Amino acid sequence: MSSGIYIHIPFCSRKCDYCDFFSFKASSSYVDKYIDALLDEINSGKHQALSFDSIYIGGGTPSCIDASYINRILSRLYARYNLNSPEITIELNPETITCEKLQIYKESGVNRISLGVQSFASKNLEALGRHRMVDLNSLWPVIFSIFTNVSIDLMYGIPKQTLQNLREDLRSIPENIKHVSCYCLSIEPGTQLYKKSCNLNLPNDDLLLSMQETIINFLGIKDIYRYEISNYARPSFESRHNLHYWQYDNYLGFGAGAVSTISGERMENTKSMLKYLSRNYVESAYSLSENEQINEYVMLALRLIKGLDLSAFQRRFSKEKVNELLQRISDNNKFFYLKDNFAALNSQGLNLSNTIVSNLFL
Amino acid sequence: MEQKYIRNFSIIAHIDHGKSTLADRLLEITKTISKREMKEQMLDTLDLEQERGITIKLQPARMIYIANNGITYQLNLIDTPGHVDFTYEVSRSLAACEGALLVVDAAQGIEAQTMANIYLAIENNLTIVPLLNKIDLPSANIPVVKEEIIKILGEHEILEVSAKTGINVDSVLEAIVHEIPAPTGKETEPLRALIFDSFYDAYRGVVVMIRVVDGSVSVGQKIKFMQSDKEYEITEIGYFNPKQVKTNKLETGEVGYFAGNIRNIVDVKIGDTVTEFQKEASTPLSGYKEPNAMVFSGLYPVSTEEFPLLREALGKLKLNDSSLKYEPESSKALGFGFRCGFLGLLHLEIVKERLTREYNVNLIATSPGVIYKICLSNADMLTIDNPADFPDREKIDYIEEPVVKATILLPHEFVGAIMELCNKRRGKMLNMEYLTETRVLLFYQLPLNEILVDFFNQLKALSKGYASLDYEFSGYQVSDLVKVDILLNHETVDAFSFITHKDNAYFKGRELVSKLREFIPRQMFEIPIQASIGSKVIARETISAMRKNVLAKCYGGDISRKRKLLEKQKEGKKKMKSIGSVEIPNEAFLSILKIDSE
Repeated sequence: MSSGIYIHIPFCSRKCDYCDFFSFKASSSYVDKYIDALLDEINSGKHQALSFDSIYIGGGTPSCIDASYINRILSRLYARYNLNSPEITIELNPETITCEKLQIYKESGVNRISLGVQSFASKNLEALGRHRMVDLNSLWPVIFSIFTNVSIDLMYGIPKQTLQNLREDLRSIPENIKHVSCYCLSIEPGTQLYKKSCNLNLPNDDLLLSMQETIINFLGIKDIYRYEISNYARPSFESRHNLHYWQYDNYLGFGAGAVSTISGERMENTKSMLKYLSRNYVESAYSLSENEQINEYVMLALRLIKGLDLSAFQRRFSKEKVNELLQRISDNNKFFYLKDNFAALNSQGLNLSNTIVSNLFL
Repeated sequence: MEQKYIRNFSIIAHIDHGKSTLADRLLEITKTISKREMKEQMLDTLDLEQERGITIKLQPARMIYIANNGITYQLNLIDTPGHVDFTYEVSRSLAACEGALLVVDAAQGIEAQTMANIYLAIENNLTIVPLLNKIDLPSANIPVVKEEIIKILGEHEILEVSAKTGINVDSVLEAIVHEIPAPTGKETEPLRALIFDSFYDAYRGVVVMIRVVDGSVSVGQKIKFMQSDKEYEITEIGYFNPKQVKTNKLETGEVGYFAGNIRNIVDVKIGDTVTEFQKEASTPLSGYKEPNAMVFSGLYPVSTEEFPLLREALGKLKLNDSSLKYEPESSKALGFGFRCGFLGLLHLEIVKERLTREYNVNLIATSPGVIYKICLSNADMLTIDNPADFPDREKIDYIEEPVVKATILLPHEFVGAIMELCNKRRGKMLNMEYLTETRVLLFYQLPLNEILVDFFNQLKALSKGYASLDYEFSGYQVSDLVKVDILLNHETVDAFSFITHKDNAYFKGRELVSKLREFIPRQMFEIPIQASIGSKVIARETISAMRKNVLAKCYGGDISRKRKLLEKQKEGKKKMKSIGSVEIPNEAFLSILKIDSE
């Protein structure tokens, strides 16, 4: 079975008001040293026996550092790991896009880009503490001339947002997009938005659910289908890398703060830049108990619209646990549908997945 | 000591009026305790007692005092528990004395509870020595407070004292010697000693505090409790200084304690008479009463695993509190718990507080109730203290509820607000008196169940903390009462049922239903909450179903964190009480105790 590799680039041009990821300014003198440390970590060659079919370069904003760094990282991965015609995704911020950069990415092996658009309307971007200096409409031809597998991130449930405003955002999505991630804004503690959250005028739950309905219908008509709680794709353009997470496959992470999970062993890298630069990569490593693994499996698999593969689940865990889970699923059966040996949440269940999943927890 | 040299007295005072300071000064002057030891004297008390205005109960103390006339006296201070719920205990402590010091704060004046205790002292034929304390305070208003005292006691000499600085405290000791009569017991008659208090000691069993009225008592003697009809042999005798000091004998008129390996506190009844076994006194001392529980509540552990812990904790409390009554009961909603009987509201709160603070039991208390007498249409009489036992309305001829006579003492500017409060609580004004130009005494007849919930707090809030309250049970009255049931998701939750006057039922039902709506979190289905009398629904609210609870993102880096988040949600649910399919947080059960009546 194939696995995924995640590369973390903890640099950004600036921090967005909703972001709770850890990141540094791209101008920082750390960039060069960080990439060296990262290449060393890849060189250490943990879990070389595995074969990988996806690489995801995320951040931060990987596109804010020089493209040659990306080239070096990918070459190193090719040199050290067994890569099996991988999907290679990089996250891009529209501001940082240039034709040259895209060209270098492509030459380095990148074959999928994920564009952090968030919204096409400047009013929405402002509410999120962002602004855009570039005209996206002039960028699309450049992007599509180099990449065909393009994904964008959108956000909804933005302060003061209306259904009308959401529809306008959806209409601005270019026709040939292959994948859309549509996240409902969540206010995380520690973010700028959280500090302001009491007077934000956020849409209520009923409006949020109508917005989601709108998104599902709008994209569906364009042949872009919901396959995960917040992700939509044309058939066979689902994110191979992210499916690894949701199907509880193995994944390897490199970079500060990156996490790996290999056969129930979890490793978390340090988030401290200084520790990372001194090659003290790992912050903690521990085994997940069977119950923890089952809980995570269920939590992740039920994010998928197709649901949890009961036969895969049965192969992986003890019979007694499987029966216990099935019993709990049947106790909550009004939120499930069962089909072809898959147990999936129905649309009401997906909206309440936290409650249901915590009911299923062992 | 010969009786003519003995003086037994008590101190009547409101909280903060300086009772313990005065007692400390007396102990100091008589050299019972050195100044150095003094500091260790401060007794621990529950915060609640402070909040609710109960005076700290002092240890009894025997003091040896050489008076100005050169004669040596034995002075015995017997303190009284300071709260309205413990009136009977107070009256027994007073009965053990011949006199009482009345301590009044020269700045605050007399409070309602003090008044009640003065009347108890007068009933027990005690000589009252009034004194103004804190005369050194700039806010002291000596003439006005003296006027208050004279209004109650009649023309009287009133000492002016500052216990804090020691001004004039000597004169208090002289007044005790000269004004309070000596005991006049019969030394040669069979033993009669009054039990005024007791406590449990793990090694010696129950330690019984007594005042010897007739005869004497010594170690090795076989004694008998006349009311409980139990015999014991005395293993230890002593007096308090205020520490326990062992001795061999207590003479007529003296105060002290004995132990006799008594393991069951129920055998030791306050007010009972101790006599000598097989040389019994012909009649017991008068005034004994069986203390009755007046207020009832069901106490349940939040989690069923804590039931044994609750049982054990109640057992331990009972060792020192013979007035606490409890028996196991079960509720459909709450599982196994105990139906508990208390002397009054404060007693209930103290027990709850101690169970939580000292024994770490997570408690749910059902709405407090009283004993109702119900006459059925077939003329059968029924007494109930639990709403669960309330019969069908059709079968009831009439219902009687307990009423109390409440004394409220307050500054005159709050009279309007407090009268309104009492009217809302179905009070009937009996009398109103001006103690002075600015201080008013209100006498009300109030149904006991109307003052159980939030009355005291309201009284304090409406009078900026100045009003004080005392009440005593005064009988039963016929009343139009109904039982209100609460239905959650169409199922009756027995723990929420309450009995109230018909006129208040709608308001209280509505109030509780809306409180519950506030406290019960949204669940995955819609939950109707209804209040009903019989089959008639009087209030309804709906908790709409939770529609959205979902994580927008979950990728490789945050799987652990998100799992823990959901595990926490699951733990949160465990802490709630599950009734039928509805999960109810503990706050919802507390909310029922906070319904105000209109």
